[in-house]
Amino acid sequence: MSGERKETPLADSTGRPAPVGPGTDSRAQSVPAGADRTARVGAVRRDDATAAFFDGAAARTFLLRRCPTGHWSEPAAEVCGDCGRTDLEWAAASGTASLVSWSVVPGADSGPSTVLAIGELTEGPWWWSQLTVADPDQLAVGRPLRIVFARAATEDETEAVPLFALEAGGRAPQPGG
Amino acid sequence: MGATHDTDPDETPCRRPAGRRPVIAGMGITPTGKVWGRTAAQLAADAVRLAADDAGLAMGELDGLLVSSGVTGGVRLGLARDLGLRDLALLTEMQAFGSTAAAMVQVASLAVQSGMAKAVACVFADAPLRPGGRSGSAYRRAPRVPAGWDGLLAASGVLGVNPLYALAARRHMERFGTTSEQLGHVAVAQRAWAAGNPRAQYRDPITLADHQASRLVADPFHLLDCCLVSNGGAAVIVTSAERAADLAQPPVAVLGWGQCHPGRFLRRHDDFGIVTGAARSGPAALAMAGVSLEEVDVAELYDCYTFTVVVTLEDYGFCPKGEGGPFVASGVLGPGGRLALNTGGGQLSSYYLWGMTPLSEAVIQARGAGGTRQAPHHDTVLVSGNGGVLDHHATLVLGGPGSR
Repeated sequence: MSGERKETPLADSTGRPAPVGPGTDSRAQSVPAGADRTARVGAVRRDDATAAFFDGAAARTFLLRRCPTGHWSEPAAEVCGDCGRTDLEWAAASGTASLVSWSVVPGADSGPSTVLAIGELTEGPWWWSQLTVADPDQLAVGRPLRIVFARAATEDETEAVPLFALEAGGRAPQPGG
Repeated sequence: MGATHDTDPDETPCRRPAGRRPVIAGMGITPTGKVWGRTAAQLAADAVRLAADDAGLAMGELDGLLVSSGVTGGVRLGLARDLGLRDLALLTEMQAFGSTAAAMVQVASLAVQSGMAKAVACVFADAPLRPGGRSGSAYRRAPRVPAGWDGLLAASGVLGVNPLYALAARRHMERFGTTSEQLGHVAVAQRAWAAGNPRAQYRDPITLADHQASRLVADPFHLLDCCLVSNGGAAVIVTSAERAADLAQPPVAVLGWGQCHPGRFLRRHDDFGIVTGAARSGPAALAMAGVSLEEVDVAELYDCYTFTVVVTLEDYGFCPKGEGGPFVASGVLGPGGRLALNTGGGQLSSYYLWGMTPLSEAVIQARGAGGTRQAPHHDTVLVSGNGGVLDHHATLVLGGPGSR
């Protein structure tokens, strides 16, 4: 959305994505039990810039960019954020992350709310997506997350979308820890 | 290249004539809000004519035009033709989202200082509202299957800018203990200022309880943390002090300016929601103007959300980093408060014209034309613009009649 980023609409989220139920796509890891109520992903098409990433997503692998020096960058990075190199390659991330920030967005027309989050991947880069969580009150900075994948049910041509889920049994680090 | 210089280049007398000091000599604002029947381009043309008339300039005396489209676009280079402006010495579109208005004044000031242009109109207009439509749908685009990285962001549910700013505010709250109630003080104070602004779309007082009771838009933001949506246009005319001397309005000096664009939208940014481009842009602008923060009489800060005001106050140095919440809750804001901030009600209560909202109120205050809401001292007015998700920042330091 960077090319046509909107400036502060006094608005609900626009264009509600199609709901996703568990098992709607056999190739995507199912959303954790209890979370399907809030997991909603929309359709998305690949383009030349995202084709490799979506190939990874289809295989339930979250791909990052890595430079020959070993620095990791966000999937959309064209230049290494650490050293400026441009000869980045795709590399599989661990798929684990920790919670940086989150926002509970009420659903339109009394629909279910969604939780949007920034996660810090274990490799360092950040990612923005939905967090499937039944009880947002339990969230805290540093809460361990993992990447799961879901696919919109209603579109013929769409890609698997990475989402955040709570890491089972995970606890946020104590303040100061 | 081995040649000797008779004089140190650094000691060369400034060849810029004193009369080329840039000033804002005119300003025009169309009706704002639910204004029907005019396109964004027509509203832009209206605003330029109003600004020229305000300055006492004939349209033919404009030799520069900078145009800024809002979210829905539509204000293009053809505006020059629509206005009947010919043989312009400067014409371009500018786009840095909410920081564009201040940035246009900076470019216009550079053009005037250099002698490139003598009188430059800077205009913004937008018309996102439609009759019968809700504000919440104003920026909604035609449905389609989105593609690429932007499409993935939308498919993931990260839609619109409200939650992106909410993620920034949440970081500030988690790091510093900032509360929703503290943010509410900004909304309440600005609504109190709006009561004195005839142009404000919302003038009825609100309370902290009203703020807390307003519906959640994107936690932690309530409805009253968010700016309005407005149709309308605004323009200013930048010319030289010399030219402005015999024009209709008291000139408002453009004393200093700065910008900062952190460049980390949707990339890891450890300062996201904590420190913004204001931390560089503000001091740069004050240094250029040769004034200290303590000398600032009036501050008109970009307020797409209450939180934006809080973090900008910190970054400009009005309070220490992290103490913006307690600062705005301490009673310094609002009419009669120690800090004259967003004296027209800002984008939260008056009208949403991107950076033209704080800029227009700054010009009004610097002129001493604020009526019942006029700040008693207005020699030095600080203006901010902010765009993207805290990705683009611009600062102006303006001077009233006593500034020089």
